[in-house]
Amino acid sequence: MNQKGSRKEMSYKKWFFKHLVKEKLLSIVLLIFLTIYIATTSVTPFFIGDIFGELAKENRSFSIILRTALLIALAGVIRAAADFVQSYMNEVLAHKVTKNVTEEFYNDMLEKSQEFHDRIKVGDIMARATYDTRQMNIFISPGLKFLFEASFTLIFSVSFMIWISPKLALLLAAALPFYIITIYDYYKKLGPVSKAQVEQNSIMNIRLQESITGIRVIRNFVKEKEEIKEFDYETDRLREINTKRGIISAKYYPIAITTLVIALSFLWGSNLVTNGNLSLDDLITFVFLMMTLTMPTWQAGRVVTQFQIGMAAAKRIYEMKEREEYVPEPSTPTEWSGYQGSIKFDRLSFSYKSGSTRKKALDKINLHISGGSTVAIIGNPGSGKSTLIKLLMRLYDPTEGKISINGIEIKDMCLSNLREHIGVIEQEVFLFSKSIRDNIAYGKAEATLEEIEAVAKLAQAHEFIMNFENGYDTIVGERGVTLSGGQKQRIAIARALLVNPSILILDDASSAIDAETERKIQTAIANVLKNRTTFVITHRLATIKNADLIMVMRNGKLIDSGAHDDLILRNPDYRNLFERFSELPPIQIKEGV
Amino acid sequence: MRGFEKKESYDRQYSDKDLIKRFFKYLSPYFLMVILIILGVVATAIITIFPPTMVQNAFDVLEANAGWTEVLPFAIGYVLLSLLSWIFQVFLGIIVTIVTQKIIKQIQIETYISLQEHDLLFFDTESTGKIMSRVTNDTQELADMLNIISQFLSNFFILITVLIWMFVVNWRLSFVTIGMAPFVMLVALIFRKITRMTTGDWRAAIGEVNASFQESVSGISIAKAFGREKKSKEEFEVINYDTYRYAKKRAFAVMGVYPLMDGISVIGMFGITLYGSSLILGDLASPSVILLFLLLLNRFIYPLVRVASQYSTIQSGFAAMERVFSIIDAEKEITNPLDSIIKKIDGQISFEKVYHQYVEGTPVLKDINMEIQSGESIAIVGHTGVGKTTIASLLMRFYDIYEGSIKIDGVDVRDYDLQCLRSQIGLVSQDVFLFSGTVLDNIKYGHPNATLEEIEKVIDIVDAKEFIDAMPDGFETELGERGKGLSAGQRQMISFARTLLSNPRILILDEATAAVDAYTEWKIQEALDSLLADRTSIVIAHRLTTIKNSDRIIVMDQGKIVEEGNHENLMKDEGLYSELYETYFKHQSSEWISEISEVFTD
Ligand SMILES: Nc1ncnc2c1ncn2[C@@H]1O[C@H](COP(=O)(O)OP(=O)(O)OP(=O)(O)O)[C@@H](O)[C@H]1O
Ligand SMILES: Nc1ncnc2c1ncn2[C@@H]1O[C@H](COP(=O)(O)OP(=O)(O)OP(=O)(O)O)[C@@H](O)[C@H]1O
Ligand SMILES: [Mg+2]
Ligand SMILES: [Mg+2]
Repeated sequence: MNQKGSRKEMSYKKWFFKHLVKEKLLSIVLLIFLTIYIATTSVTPFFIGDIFGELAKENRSFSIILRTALLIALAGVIRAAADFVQSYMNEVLAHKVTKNVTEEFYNDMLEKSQEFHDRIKVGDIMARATYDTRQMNIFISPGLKFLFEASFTLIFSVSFMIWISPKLALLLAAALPFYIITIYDYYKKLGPVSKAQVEQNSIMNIRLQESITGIRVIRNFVKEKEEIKEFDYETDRLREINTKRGIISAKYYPIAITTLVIALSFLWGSNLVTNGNLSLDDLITFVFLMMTLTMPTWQAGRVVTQFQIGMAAAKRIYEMKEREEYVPEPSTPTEWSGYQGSIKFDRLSFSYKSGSTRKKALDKINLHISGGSTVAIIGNPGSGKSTLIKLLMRLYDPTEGKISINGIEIKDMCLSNLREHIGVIEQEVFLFSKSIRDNIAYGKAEATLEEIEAVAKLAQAHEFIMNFENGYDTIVGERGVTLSGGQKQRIAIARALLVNPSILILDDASSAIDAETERKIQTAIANVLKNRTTFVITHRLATIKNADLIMVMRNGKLIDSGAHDDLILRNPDYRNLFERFSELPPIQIKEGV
Repeated sequence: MRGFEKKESYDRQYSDKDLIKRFFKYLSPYFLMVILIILGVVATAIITIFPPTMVQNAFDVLEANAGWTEVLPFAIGYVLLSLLSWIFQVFLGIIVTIVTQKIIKQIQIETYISLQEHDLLFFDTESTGKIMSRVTNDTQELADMLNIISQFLSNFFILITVLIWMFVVNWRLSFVTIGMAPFVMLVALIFRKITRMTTGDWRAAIGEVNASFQESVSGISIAKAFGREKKSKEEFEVINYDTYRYAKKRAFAVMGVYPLMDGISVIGMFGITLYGSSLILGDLASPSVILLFLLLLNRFIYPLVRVASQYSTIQSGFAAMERVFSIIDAEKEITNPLDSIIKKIDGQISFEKVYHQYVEGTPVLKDINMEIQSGESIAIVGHTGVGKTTIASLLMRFYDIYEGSIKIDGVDVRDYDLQCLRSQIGLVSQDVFLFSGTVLDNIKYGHPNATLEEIEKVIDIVDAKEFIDAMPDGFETELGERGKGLSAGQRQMISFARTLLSNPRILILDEATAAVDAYTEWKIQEALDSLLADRTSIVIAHRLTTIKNSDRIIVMDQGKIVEEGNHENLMKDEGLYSELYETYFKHQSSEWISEISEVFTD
């Protein structure tokens, strides 16, 4: 939406960094304590050196030793306290950033268009929301902590070393290029394999997700062995990548350089000592300072490892987030007006983006529907009935033409405003794995139990719900698996009725419901939602016949519309539907009635 | 006892002994490698003490005012030993990685295999997100544990070696170092408890976040349709914030251990310098000994700290193991019988006194008795929710019945080999599920070797040729998850074709044409007739036009069979069937329409 345009050029690194620096107070406190921590760490070798200096003297004074030892202890305690604060802050920072990123990602996924969700797999989104955010988290803590510690230690220790003996410190300067080259080399090697790792993890996630959600089909066709084989392949690839990555990190060799540098400096230092250019205790201090560098060297490796994977992860999150697939909201929205909906389809055309050749799912639909009428939409599978409804809800925007409700083009309305006035029972019912009560109250969380029961009764669902041991508190499985087809549909009907919509859409909402129950539902709905515009997509002939207006669709085109009596005379497609039906003996029954 | 996580119904507890035993089972194929690892660990531990000793000796030499050339051997020794230790560590790292990754893979695939064998009842109640997290996250945690165990071992050995060496060099001073151990242990113990508790809460909170995220994305179109995005965002913010809160709590414990231990180590340093100096003053030690002790102190304290805190990581690894093994070991009721029967099914079915319930205390089927002859075509009708789909599921042995028996060709379904049973029964299920992949992949799912001819034949039967040809890449068009990219009716046709292609002996059509229009349905039925002629078929449908021609109609009410017979007889009986039938057609008749339209126009 508006602020998204400006973010476009931003790279994922910038985006990540922005999240990081947003926590200013936290970062400042962190840096202060970090400085204290490192300063006290690097000062300790001096005290140790002092003690040795004292011990080397002829007239050693125990009180000086005691004083210095106390200083070591004091520095140590301060150091421990500062370390605690900075580590804690760092961890908190990491979780805060993770929390913000997860939330931003979640919100963005909700805003993404239906088109986006049609194509992107849930497992993929989930891999990014879970594994990838976790990798970012690890990069910040302990990754960033290591980075800070390493660089601060480096700065302090090196300055102290220069202070003690600039000559000795020269050695370090000579070693520097080797460090840079080797660490950079390590960095380069880890890049591709880190990327491969997060990606393979995602692939595995997708597979796993799909085989759990499709478990019934797998059982049905006894395909367990094949599924296992495929999963085995994916896990094996992940294993290979992880092993490769592990081996690269194991072989991290700058540590070897540090060892060499320590030994050389000792050697050279000894030389300086024997020549009288350096005191022995200074040498000791120096060597101890050198040894504080082992840790940063090792940490640098960890930082690089975590940086690579953290950034590969950040990139994946950012890239998915950055896809500009939103249904645009108007800048100055017009409010919904009117109680019922009179609807106008104006040269409406639409094709789904996913297909390579753009077959039109809807082709120049023109129609005016007056408010309060019942409209039946019929047509063979794939003729565009559901698509028309989705366009009305603005799940997709038309490629051409427009839709207006009560004279207002739907593009000019706020999305939420539009959708709250339309109640839809979708063709494939989706229920959440919550209680039945929560499912019905989905669109109106503040609904009272009476309201919920009232709509459940309208939808002929109350009776079966009460038959469950826990009644309205029965938890339905994911997508409602523990309910029968007709039970799911009736809960979806109740859910849509509860929001008291101005336009009601039943997209094949009774395909799994027997005629008797369906009739009861229809009568009930008709009583309650009097004079609302109602769309019924159905294959039940009675419902069709009874509609005010029938839209006959074929291959995306509205081939005819009108009332039953006219259509049966003039439209062959329409007649086809009823012809076969009229061979049956309802006539006899009619006589019996 | 272990962990404080929210438990799932399938979670169980294992004793530490069990877990360790099982863990060793995974290790046993890598016996040689494990020996190598242990040897490597011991070797590095021993090497560790030498570089500081080199420094100590060099110091002695220097103090005696010797020339730097005499320091040279020690410097070289220092470098070589350090490099040796580094090389050992590299090899250790590589071997550990290889073994670890292999074991993880093994555990992941075992979890997956066991998932494939779990009862459907398990999937009915467990959330996909949580199951997935066990296969991915928890196995990952196991991996970390393996790593940590090897570090633990190595630290432990270093600890012991350093301690012995200290003792050898100066037993008096070594008591100062040993004296710190109880404090370190105490701190570790306290923090272990806190860490475990807070980690459990944190993990549970993450689980909630994932489950909620997952469901929101799966149900995105509903959220949009109901304009619920804002509310969902608010809800998510709350649970997401909870995770952060728990993470903060946990951070306190996790990040507190090291600094505290560090503080203790400083006290040790203090003790060593002080006591050491007094020893020197009393001529009981040389200054270089203190130097050595200070150098060794790090190699004593850090391993000690690690051993102590890694113990808690191992604990949480144990908890992860428990979570993974719980999935692997979850009770499976529906398994292949020992002497499973594999044979060609003819198609005679009998239900004898079948009772079924999904949930204890809520019976779904009551005393179902029916006899279906081979080749017979029967229909099952009844109000929604009476248990029609359940009958189909039981025949496929998706669930085991509560009481009674279901026999096919006189053999109980529980005695059949599962593969043999299910592959000979074709079920077009009410809930359509297609996989992502091409249209062709989906059709061929149950019979991957089908010829083009066979495929075209089933495509013709379900009247899908026209729309498949019209798709951008025809058969090769890629579908999204759950078959996105097709209309609901089209998906149903593909799922229908998929079952027909597997050429089953018994065909169950559970509302197989509910999403298509009456004309298309009629065409499909005509085409099906010849295919069904010599097979047993069970048709479940609410549209009574589709079942009228069945040999026999079984009418169910409230989980029982209430009527049985052909259309004419049932109509004569004037029972439930005639009632259903009449509503169905009365529904279509002009009287009713004028009646209802009065209500509508009211
Ligand atoms: N997996 C399950 N776990 C728990 N209860 C279930 C499960 N599946 C079905 N039920 C319950 O069993 C009863 C019968 O369901 P079933 O699906 O067999 O009905 P049906 O006759 O097929 O109905 P419909 O015509 O609506 O499809 C229902 O009350 C339903 O809630
Ligand atoms: N998400 C999608 N991406 C690409 N194409 C799609 C998508 N959804 C539907 N289509 C195609 O658009 C056309 C119209 O589909 P639509 O769902 O509107 O049909 P329908 O009339 O509702 O059919 P049914 O009676 O089967 O529900 C079909 O050819 C279908 O293949
Ligand atoms: Mg549709
Ligand atoms: Mg059913």
